[in-house]
Amino acid sequence: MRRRRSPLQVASFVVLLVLATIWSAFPFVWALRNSIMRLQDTYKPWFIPWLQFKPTLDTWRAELSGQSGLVSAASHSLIVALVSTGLALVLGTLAGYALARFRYRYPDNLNLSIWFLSQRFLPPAVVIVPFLLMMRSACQPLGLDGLHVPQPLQLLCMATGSRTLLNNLTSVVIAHTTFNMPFVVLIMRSIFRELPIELEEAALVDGANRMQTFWLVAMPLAAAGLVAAGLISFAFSWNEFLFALILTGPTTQTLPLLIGSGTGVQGIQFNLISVRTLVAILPPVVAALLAQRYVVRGLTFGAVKG
Amino acid sequence: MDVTAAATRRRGLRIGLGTARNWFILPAALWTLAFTLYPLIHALILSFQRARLGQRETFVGLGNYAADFHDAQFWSALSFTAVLVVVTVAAALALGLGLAMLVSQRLIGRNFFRMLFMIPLFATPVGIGYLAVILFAQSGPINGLLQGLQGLLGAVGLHTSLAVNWGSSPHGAAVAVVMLEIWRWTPFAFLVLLAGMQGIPEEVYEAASLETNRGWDVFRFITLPLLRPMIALALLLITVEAFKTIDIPFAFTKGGPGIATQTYTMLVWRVAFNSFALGSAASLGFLLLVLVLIVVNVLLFVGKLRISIFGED
Repeated sequence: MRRRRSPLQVASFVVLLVLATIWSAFPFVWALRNSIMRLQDTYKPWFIPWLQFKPTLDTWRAELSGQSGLVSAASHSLIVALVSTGLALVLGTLAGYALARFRYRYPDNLNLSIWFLSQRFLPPAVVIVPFLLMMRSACQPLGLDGLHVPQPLQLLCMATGSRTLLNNLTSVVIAHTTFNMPFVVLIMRSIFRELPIELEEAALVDGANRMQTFWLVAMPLAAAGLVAAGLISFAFSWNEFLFALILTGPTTQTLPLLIGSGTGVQGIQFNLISVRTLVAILPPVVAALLAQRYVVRGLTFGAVKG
Repeated sequence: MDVTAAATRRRGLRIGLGTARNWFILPAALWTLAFTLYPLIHALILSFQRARLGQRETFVGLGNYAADFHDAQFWSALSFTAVLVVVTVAAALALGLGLAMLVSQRLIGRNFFRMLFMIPLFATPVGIGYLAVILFAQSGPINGLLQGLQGLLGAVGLHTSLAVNWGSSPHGAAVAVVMLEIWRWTPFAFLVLLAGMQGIPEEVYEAASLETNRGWDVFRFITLPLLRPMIALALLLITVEAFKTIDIPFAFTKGGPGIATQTYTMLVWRVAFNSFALGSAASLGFLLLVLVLIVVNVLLFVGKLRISIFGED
C-alpha cells in the first residue's frame, strides 16, 4: 500500500478520477447551463457563458418569484417531508429502542426486525390501489351492511375539515411515514445496540422508569444518529414520486410532480425544467451531505457502520 | 462479536421484560399493520374481483391473473424490468467497486470525491428524468460526445456511426433508461463497498505484501473475498430498489417509444389510473410481490445475509 506509484499509474489514476467526476457531475453542470440560457439557445452545444452565449437569470427570477407554482410546490414538499419525517422519527425511535433493549417472544426480536425491514422490500405497486381507496373513503364511516363503524382516519378528516383525504397532503404524509418508518426503526435499533447498557441500568436502579431512562439517558446519546436518520428520511420523502402522483391534485402538487408539468404544449422548456430540477435537488443532497457519517448505515438499515 | 459485547447484550435483553416494552413497539407496529398489512389484504381481495372505480365489484376468481398472463403489455413490462434490474445491479456494483477502489487510494481531497460521487443517489429522480430528455436529445451533449469520438475514430481509419437516436428507437431508449438507473444506483454500491474496504485492517495488506507484489493478486485474494458480505448486501438492496423503478422513465420516456421502456410499476399505475381496472392492477401488483419475494429470499439464502443485516439477535 505504501509503494511509490509510477508516473503511468499516477496518470491513469488522474484520468479515471476526472472521468468519474464528469460521470457524477455532468447532468448538474448541464442543468446549470440550461438554467442561465434563453430557451432557444438550450438546443445548442455551447457551454462557456459570456464567450459563447449571454447568461441570463430571467428563468431563475421568474420561477422564484412566487407566481410560478415552484414556491407553493416546494412548500408542499417541505411540509410533507418535515411532518412525515417527524412522525417516522417518533414511531421509529421508540420501536428501534424496543428492539435493541427489550426481549419479545411471539414474534421474537429477529422476526420483528425482519418484519419492519420487509416493508422496504414491498413493491409500492402492490399497495397503490388499496391505499388510494382507503384515502378516498377515509372520511366516511366503514359501511358494513348498514352498520356504521367510525374509523380512526375520520378524526383526521374532522381535524382538517375535508371530505376526503385525496387531494390532501395528509394522505401523502401518511404514505411517506409508512415507507420511512421501518428505515428509522432499523437505524435506531443499530445505534441503541451500540450504546453501553450500564448507564441505563444505573438509571433504572436509581428509580427512573422505562420512559425516563429512554428519554433522559439513551436519547441524548443517540441524538447524532437521530438527526442523521431524520435527514435521510427527509431526502427520501422529498424525492418520492409515485404516492405523490396518485394522492395529490393540482392544488396539492409536490415538487417532483411540478417539475414536468406545463411542458406539454410548447414541448419541454429546458431552461424551466433545469431551474426546477436544481431547486428540487438541492435540499435532499444537502441533507445527505450533512448526514454523511450515517448515510451508509442508513442505506443498509444499520448493517454497515460506514 | 467479542465476549463482553455479547454479555452486555444478553444482560440488556434480560432487563427488558415487562409491560412497558409493549408501549414502545405498539405505535410503530399498529401503524404498519394499518397502512401496509390492511392495504395488502385489500389488494389480495381486489385481485380476485372485477373492480372499477365507482362500480360494484364482481368476483372473478383467478380471472385477472389469467388475463395478465395473456397480456402482451405484462410480458413486455416484465422483461424490460427484469433486464433493467439485472443490468443495473451488475453495472452499479462493478462501477461502484471501481469508484471505491479509486477513493480508497492515497488521495488528496478524498472526502470531497466521496461526497461528489454520492450525489446522484439523492438527486430527485424525476428531475433527472426530465434532464435526460435534453442530455439524450438528437443534438444533445451525449450525441455530441459520441460524434466527437466518431471523428477521432475516423481519423485513425475506423468509420462508424456512433450517434444514436435515443428518443425514437426502442433499443436506444431502453439503453438510455438503463444508463440513468446505473448512474443513480452506482453511488449506493460505491458507499457500501467503500465502507467495507475501510473496514479491512491495514495489517491484512501488510501480511499480503510479504507474499505478493501484484496489485491484482491482492485484489483478487484479499479485497474481494473480504468484501463478499458487502457485495451481497448492496446486491440485495439495489435489486429491491430497481424493481420499484418508475420515476426516471416516467419523466424521461413516458414508457415509450410505444411501450419499450414501460417498467412494471408504470404498467400497474396505468392499468389502475388510466384504465381504472383496479382488480387487474391489484393482480399485477401481487405477481410483482411474489417475484420480488422469490428473488429476495434466493439472495438472502445464497448471500447468507440474515446475520450480516441483523447481527445475532
